[in-house]
Amino acid sequence: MLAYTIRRLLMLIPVLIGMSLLVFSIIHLIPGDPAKTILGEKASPEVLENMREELGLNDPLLIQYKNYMLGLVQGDLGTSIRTKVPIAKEMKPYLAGTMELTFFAMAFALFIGVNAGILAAWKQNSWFDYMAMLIALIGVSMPVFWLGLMEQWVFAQNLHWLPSIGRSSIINPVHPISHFYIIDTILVGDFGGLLEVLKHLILPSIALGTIPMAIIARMTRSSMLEVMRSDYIRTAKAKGVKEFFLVYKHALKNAFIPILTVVGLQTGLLLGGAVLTETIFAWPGIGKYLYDAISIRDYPVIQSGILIIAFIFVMINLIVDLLYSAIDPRIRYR
Amino acid sequence: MTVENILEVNQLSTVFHSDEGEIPAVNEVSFELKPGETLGIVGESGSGKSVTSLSIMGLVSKQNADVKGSILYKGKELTSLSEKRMRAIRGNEIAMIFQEPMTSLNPVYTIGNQLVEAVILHMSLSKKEAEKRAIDMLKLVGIPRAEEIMNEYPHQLSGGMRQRVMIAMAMSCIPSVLIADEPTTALDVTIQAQILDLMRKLKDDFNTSILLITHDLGVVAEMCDRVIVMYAGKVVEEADVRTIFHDPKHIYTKGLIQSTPRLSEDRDRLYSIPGNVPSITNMPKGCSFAPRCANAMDICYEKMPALISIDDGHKARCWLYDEGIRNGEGKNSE
Repeated sequence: MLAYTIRRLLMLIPVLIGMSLLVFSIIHLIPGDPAKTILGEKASPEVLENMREELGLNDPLLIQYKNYMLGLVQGDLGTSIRTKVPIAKEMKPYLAGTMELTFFAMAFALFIGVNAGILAAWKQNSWFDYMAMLIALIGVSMPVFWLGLMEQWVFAQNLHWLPSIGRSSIINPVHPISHFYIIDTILVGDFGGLLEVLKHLILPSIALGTIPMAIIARMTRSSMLEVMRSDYIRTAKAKGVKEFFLVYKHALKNAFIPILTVVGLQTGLLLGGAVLTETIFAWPGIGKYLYDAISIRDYPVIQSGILIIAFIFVMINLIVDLLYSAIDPRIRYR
Repeated sequence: MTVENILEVNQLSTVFHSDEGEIPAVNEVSFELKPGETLGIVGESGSGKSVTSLSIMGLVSKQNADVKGSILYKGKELTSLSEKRMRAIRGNEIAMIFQEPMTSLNPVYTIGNQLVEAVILHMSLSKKEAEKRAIDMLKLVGIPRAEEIMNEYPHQLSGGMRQRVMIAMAMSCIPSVLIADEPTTALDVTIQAQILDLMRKLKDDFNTSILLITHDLGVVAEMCDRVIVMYAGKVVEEADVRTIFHDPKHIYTKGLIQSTPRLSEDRDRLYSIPGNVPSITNMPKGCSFAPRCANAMDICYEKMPALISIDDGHKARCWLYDEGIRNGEGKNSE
């Protein structure tokens, strides 16, 4: 198991080299002069030359790649053209923001989705089953921006229950340590601040988690229906096991593999940045960060962002693969 | 109800509802089981023998099927028991083992977990005591390294071992009745003999009655005291095991016995009963075996014969043994 994990981690290296090549070539694949693309047609030759120098575009291609890779292995993702701040440093709070939001969105999606799916399968063809699957269908087809706006309109605008934008209250801002606001407020013992942070998380988490929730609910239902028909469930019934344990102990663990696959894929997608949700809720996350970078053609930031997202995706896949074998003892990696 | 019967099934009918209409899988089946007795239920696939056993256990889904008739266990009517009371009987007083040892154990829980669960459900034992009992049971069914097997998963064991585990699980609460649904069908012949030996030994040790469901007449000859033969959801013959083999009355029983290979006879081809079991949705009028019967008379196509008593404890469902028919008018129509 440990050997497998180490091997999988080593296999990350070629994947990341491939990714870096791809990302590196982006700037060279743009037709024409990258400096001109960034600065616009009307930029003066001196400014353009400065930009080329800054981006290292005057060096031979191989040297450029070498410098880029040398930077990468030292954790240097380059410097943002817009802010002149090192990207690694600049991106961190955004990444933390997205991770915090993703965590809560997925927690919401998993809790509601799995339980709704289980109950729908348990009471197959009941009114609950039909309702749950109808809601799930609406959930997958719901445009996120619309759901987000409706949430804001109902719960922030009209009812004043929850804040509609940002990660924490403006009057009492969180002092960032890890940039995970939940952790930061707990670290300094600011429980009023913690409550504020949690309140800010609710609406965007629901908006972001609704589609994964609907997918998880449907997946759980079909997976559970299949498992509930299996011989070992009949054995457990013949032992006199209560229906609750039949469902939540004997069936659920067996049904969880396909659910886990979906959860992994969805988490990867959400961590890649949910531009729509982050924009609507003015959430300082990686999606919004990248979106802003794209709109002003801040190529170093775009490159680094893609690389980081790819890295996260690959890591989540690894974690999911390892979780498979924790759930199902028949899956053993050698 | 005579006191000596531990299980008495009267006019049991199980009808499944399906899109194609009502499917009468079991049709007015009656039999009784005495303490310490092994009763064989023999029949081809689709004859309703498995559904009979599932109906006794109350494991037929009430949504999809109707179970009519009466099932008396130690004088208690099982069909009218609440689900909760029924659970207390399942696995405790009436236990069951199944045909597929490969799929009948839950693949994601250890053998120990599943055995301890069965013990704790019905006996007020602590976890420690239950574990000890589970290990004792594993030793009793002849599993070497019982302590280690407790921590292993089903896929790590062979089919024979798994069936031993199933038997250990079924016997762990010392049931009065053990229903064994084709317990050896999926096993190698050498392992079959071991499992049958084990069942016989446990039956003698615990004075458990066994309801043995099988299509294998060899197993019947080896194990059973009495036999009922089922065809198309109905009992067609009932007798003690000697009578069934030496003096079968129903043409179907005769055919079954003739189609068993025997070393003592020199035959080129094995006998086979002509035709097929009729489709359960499209039963012929009259005796359901008539279309395949060499002795079929006109009346056989008109009316289903009753189960006619021939000798003490020997019954057959055939017009040939009807007093009126025998005394005259019934001539062979073909």
